[in-house]
Parts: sequence; structure tokens; C-alpha cells
Amino acid sequence: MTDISMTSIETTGRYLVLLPEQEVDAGIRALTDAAGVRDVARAADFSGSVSAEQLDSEGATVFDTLGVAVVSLDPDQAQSIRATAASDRAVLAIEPERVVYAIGEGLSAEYLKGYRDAINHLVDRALPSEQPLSASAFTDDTTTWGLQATGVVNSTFSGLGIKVAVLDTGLDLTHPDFEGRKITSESFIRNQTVQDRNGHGTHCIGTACGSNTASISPRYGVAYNAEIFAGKVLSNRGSGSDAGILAGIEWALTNGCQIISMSLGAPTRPGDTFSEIYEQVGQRALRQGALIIAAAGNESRDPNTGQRLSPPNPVGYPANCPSLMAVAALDSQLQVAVFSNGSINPKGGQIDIAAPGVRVYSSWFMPTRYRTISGTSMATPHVAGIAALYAEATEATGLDLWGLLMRDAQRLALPSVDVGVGLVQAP
Amino acid sequence: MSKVKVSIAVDDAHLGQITEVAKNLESAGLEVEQTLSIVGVINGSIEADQMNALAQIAGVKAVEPEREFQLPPPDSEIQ
Repeated sequence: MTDISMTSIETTGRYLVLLPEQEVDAGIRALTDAAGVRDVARAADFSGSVSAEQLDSEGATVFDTLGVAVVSLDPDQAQSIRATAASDRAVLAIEPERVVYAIGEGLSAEYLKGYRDAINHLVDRALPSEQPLSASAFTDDTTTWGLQATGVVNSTFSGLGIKVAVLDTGLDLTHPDFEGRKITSESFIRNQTVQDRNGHGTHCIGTACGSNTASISPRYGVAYNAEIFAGKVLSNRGSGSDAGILAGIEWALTNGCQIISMSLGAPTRPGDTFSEIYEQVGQRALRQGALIIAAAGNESRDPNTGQRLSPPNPVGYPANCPSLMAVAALDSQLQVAVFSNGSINPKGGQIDIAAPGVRVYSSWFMPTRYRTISGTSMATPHVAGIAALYAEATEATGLDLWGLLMRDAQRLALPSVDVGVGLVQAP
Repeated sequence: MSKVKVSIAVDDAHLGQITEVAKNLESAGLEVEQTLSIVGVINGSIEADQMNALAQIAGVKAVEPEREFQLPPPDSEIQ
């Protein structure tokens, strides 16, 4: 443990001791036997309501439901418990009890700066090699910048056991990079097979689920062990309609897919509201344990200046539905992509999260094999693949899965109307 | 008048009787193309001037004309 003198942080002289949730009694025994703590009071004995007087008394107060004890200890006792925490599982952790203040009251600028400096110092000492999250960090040429920026390269998860549906122009089933993968495919375009003769679908499936084999370098796929469901809802010319897309969603749900990725949309105008139908579909999908992730749209680049329109154009259909997760695009400098739509419209139409969407390298139909393109279409499958990693890691689905993605996203110093909660991060 | 393609969302209360709702929609002039029972949507086509009547059928939550989606050309830089 780093030994930093944090004189700017006030402590009470007592300690918080973390006990295992299922073994609070064993934890208490460790306190009384190992450290000689006397006068242990259990919150359970007070019907959960512990008085201030009790907390101030000598001895220990145990919050049974939390699995935490507040204990008065002399330095020897504290050391003894630290040793117990290090060696066996009866006690999990010990830390000094801090004094806290209401924010905005009784906190001087002096105090805050001191606190900040102490924390910075601690972080620098503990993590000397940590790179700040910036573009200069994406220099590994064995994987795409997107997989680095989202932490996918460091994740131990691969989407194993998770079904990811990508509704797009299909997949090039002859592409060597997908050999050996479990793939279920279906075409919802009349007179066309699922075989992708456009490229867009293959590119998106590559990002979401591309393989991890050594021969594929750079690596460009997130959930390399996920089960792929390739639904062709856009023709080889890239066109489709509600009927095909809704049928594709139905197919994905029938097959038990936990994630449905849709890099497609239609432009909206300021003031437009969302489709009631897709909203109902999105809600039903969530209840069935499927998360629908959709591209926010690329209509925000000013053709005259090449800059992003201000204000940008609104999030398109159907991503503008509250129950569909709308994805914005970032470039490798972690700035908002110039074309990426924003949250304009008052009803729905919000960006939820952002992901790499500029100069994204992935698979293309043969013989071209690979291509680097940009779009919220490319950002969306990053989120879909990462959602599959979370689904594998936690078994969460639907709104729970949505929550995990939002919880762990990297906050950015950018407006939430443009990036939602921030840059998606892998578990 | 010409036929328009529509999607109809069935409300939660009628999800279990979607086939019945589809039949009633047919009586109102809808040519049913597909009935999606999990998402609770019926796709079909109807004479433009009969479209408004569909919303009155019991169990209908929303009626929307079908949207078309079009990707940029495959050789575009931004997709």
C-alpha cells in the first residue's frame, strides 16, 4: 500500500471494516478474536436503526445488511486486522473512517485544492505508467484504434455464448476471416440472398464480431466468439423498408438474440417526433431481453465548409426512439465526428452513447476483403460488440445491459447532446 | 387511389390476439403481408383513402406509412 501522508483528508480515528456479505458472523469473530475488539453492537439488534450515541461509543457497530463494521481501534489492533485482511477471507478490507461535509458548505477552496493534490499525488505514485485517454495512446498497429480507445484490446471477454444480430446488407459468407464462425443468416429482401454484394453489412459484422485469429492483423472485431446472426434487411444497393427491418427484428428475437445492431436510418428534421411503432418494438425487445442499438445518422456535415453544422441535424429514424440506443461517432482524437447527428428534438431524438466511427478498418466483401470507412454505421457495431462482452461477463440483458454500457462509458469533456454519456468502454 | 404500404403496431393488451386484430384489419381493407407476433406489428398495404379507418380498429396502437431507407453508395467515405 502506498504510504502517502494525506493531511488534507480528515479522519475520525475509527476504521471501516468490510466483511464478506454471506459471512458477517465470521468477520465479527475475526474482529473480536484477532483484534480483541469488545462491545460489538449489531444494527440487526436495533431493528436496523442505529443511534448516534451507539455509533459514538467504544467498540464496534456492525451494519449487517451492508456487511460493514465501524470500529474503534488502536494502531496495534488496526495492524492486526490489516494482516487478517491480507491473509484470510474473514475480513475483506479496512480503511480509516473519513470526515465528510455537505458539498458547497464548509468547504474552502483551500480544502478542495488540498484534497485534489493529495489524490493526484496518490494516483501518480500508484499508476506511473497510466496514459491519459487521448489520441496519442492509440499507436498499437496490431489492432484498430477503435479497439484500443474502447479498451476492447484489454478485455478478457469475447462474447462467448452471446447471439448478436446485425441487420444490414447481409454478410459475405465466403470471406476467409469468418471461417469457422457460427453464423445464422436470413434474407428479408425479395429475390436476394443474404450474400453481401454491397459491403456495408460485412463491414459492420466485422466490427461487431470479427475474429481474433493471429492471421488477421490488425484485429478489427470486438466480440470474436459471439454467434453471428446476419439478417439482410437492406438490398445490395443499400435500400430497405420498415417491413423488412421489422421482420428482421422479429427474426432476431425469435432466435433469442441479446443484441440487435442496426446501422441504418432515415433523416429527420427539427421538430420531428419518433416512430411510435419502433418505440413499441424497442420496448418489447427490451422486455424480451434484447437490446437494439442504432446509428444516430450522418447528416450533420456542412457540404460547403466541411465542418460540423451548428446546430447539428437531429438524430434520425429509428435511433431517435427512446428505447433504441442511439450511437454517435467519434474520431481518433476523441472529438465528435463532423457528420455525427446530435440531440435536437425535444421528444426522443437523444444521443445515448458514442463510439469510434471515423476511419474504421474492417472486412468488406471479397475480393476487396478490407476497407476503411467512416460513419455512425461504424460506431454502432462497436457498441453492439461491446454489449456482447458485457452480456457474457454479467449475463445481463435488455435494460440491465443498457445500464452497464452507460455506467462504464468514459465521460468526455464534450456536450452530452453530441456524445450522450461518453465513449463506450469494454468490460 | 393507389395503395400505400403501412405498418400497424398492436397495443400490449392485444398482443395475445394479434391474429384476430389482423383479421379485423383485413375487413377494414388491409391486405396483410406479414404478422410479426413477437414485436406485435402487422405489415400490409391499403388504399390511401382507407388508411385512416385502421386506427379505429380495437387493439391498434399506431399506424404508420412505410419508410424507405437508403445507404450512401458503397464507395462513399461516410456510411
